[in-house]
Amino acid sequence: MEVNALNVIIVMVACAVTAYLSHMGMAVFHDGIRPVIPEYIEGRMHRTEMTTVAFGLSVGFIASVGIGNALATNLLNPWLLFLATDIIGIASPKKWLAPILGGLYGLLCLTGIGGINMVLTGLPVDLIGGMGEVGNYVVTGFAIFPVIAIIMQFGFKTGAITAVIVLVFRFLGPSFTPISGDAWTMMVGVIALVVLCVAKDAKNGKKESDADNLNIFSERVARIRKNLPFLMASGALIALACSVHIFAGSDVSMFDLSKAYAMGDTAEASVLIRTVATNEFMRGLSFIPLIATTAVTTGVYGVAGFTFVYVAGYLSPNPIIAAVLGAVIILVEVMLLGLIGKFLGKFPTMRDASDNIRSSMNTCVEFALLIGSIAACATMGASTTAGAAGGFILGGMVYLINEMTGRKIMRMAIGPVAAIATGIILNLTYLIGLTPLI
Amino acid sequence: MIAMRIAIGGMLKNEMQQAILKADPTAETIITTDMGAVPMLRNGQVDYYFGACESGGGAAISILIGMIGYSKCCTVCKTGGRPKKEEIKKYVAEGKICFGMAVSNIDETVSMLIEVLKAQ
Repeated sequence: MEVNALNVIIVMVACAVTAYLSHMGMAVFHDGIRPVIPEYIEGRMHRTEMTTVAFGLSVGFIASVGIGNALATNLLNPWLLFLATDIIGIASPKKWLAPILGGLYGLLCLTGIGGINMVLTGLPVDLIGGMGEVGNYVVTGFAIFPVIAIIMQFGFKTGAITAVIVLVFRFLGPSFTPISGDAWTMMVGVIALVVLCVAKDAKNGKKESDADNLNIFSERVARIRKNLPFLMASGALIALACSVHIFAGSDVSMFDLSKAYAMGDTAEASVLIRTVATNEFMRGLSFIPLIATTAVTTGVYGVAGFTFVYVAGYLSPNPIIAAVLGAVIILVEVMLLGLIGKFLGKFPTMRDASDNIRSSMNTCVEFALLIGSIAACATMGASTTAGAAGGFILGGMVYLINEMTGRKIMRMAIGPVAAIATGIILNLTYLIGLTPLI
Repeated sequence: MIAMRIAIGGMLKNEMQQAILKADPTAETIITTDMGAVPMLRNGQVDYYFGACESGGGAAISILIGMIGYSKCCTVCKTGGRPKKEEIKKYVAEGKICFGMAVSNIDETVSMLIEVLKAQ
């Protein structure tokens, strides 16, 4: 992640705009802060009280997923930047102060993460090289999510049958098509999930729902439309940050993007980026119900919209196209918002599936990250006399201590954090002569 | 005593249901969605709503805050934190009926929450 004038400006302006959006109650990143904002606007809550809520909901995310994964990937992420700008915007007592503080925070993140990463790169026991293994299984792990979602929603038997079918395609598919095993896994799984959902809906008939409730929120949708210029600016800036390779949108993409950017401008890198973009798109789809319903019921949008601006940023051939696409995507999303809200109100099963899909995506990525991180610990250990088992025990202890003390660090972040900790510990023990390099 | 009726929404619903039944085998649980739980709470079909998400205040209860009201909703365990019995007692005494919690701490939170609700 290069700290040059252009990157500094992009990050500072992006953070300034998102802090302003949050201050004005136009958009926030955290889905949980969205419903609290009308409480403030309609006078049932003070700004200080709202700040406490925002801080409490986000601080754990910023500290673990935000900082931990930014260090592991050397890329900025929305948890680090936008959860903080949510808080900064809400806490700012004055309208003009929010963008200034937001911009300064962006500067701090870019230089801080870049600086710490530079220090880590220079360590005698190779920490950054080892960290490359953290994301090894994320793409494959993510591809399992439809099967896990099916088990959650339809039980063990249906899930086990789907798993067998998916595995057959995974191993046979690549032999007669140019499509990769991971792509087959996900494609067959997603099709199975959709078929099962539709079949269930057809059997149950149309259920009673709260559809009419959503229609009364047209006033809220109008509020979001009124804020469109600002929301589009935010979308453009975020897509821009993605396209200059300093920002990754989610845990699904960040590890492989980091790897792809390190490869430079090669064919292999562009294949990997396309895979990442596909996965990010799938993740975006699963978040539509959550973001759309919270937006329609509160009148507060997301700073990155439905997160499709990330995909545009990764795939755009140049930053200008990325920025234009980012703005257009937000425009289209907001225009469709009322329709999506009505649709989701009519089909509650879609929301049910969406809850399960998001749970299973998390479960799969957490698992893949943990396994990859432990492999990274072992690799770092193996480069010293501590050995692979020595690395394993260091990483394992960090993980288990976190488990036993109420998971202060989120599951999504504990793997990379454990790997970074292992690397630092091994460097310290190297310095005192306990674990020389081999 | 009448069995507690609890609607479950949010993430990891199966795990939530198991945690509730472990804490109180007599409880009646209904797996639904946040939006599906709204009419159930309104017409008294269920007494409480439990939901989990990454932060404990997002996907778990955000729709409930919008549709049932902020005064009925609370987050009993946030990310990186642990549930506090005194805090839960205070929330329950205030009449909160929709409880959001961090997905990483479902077990501990649910057993404490059920204990407090039962003591009521």
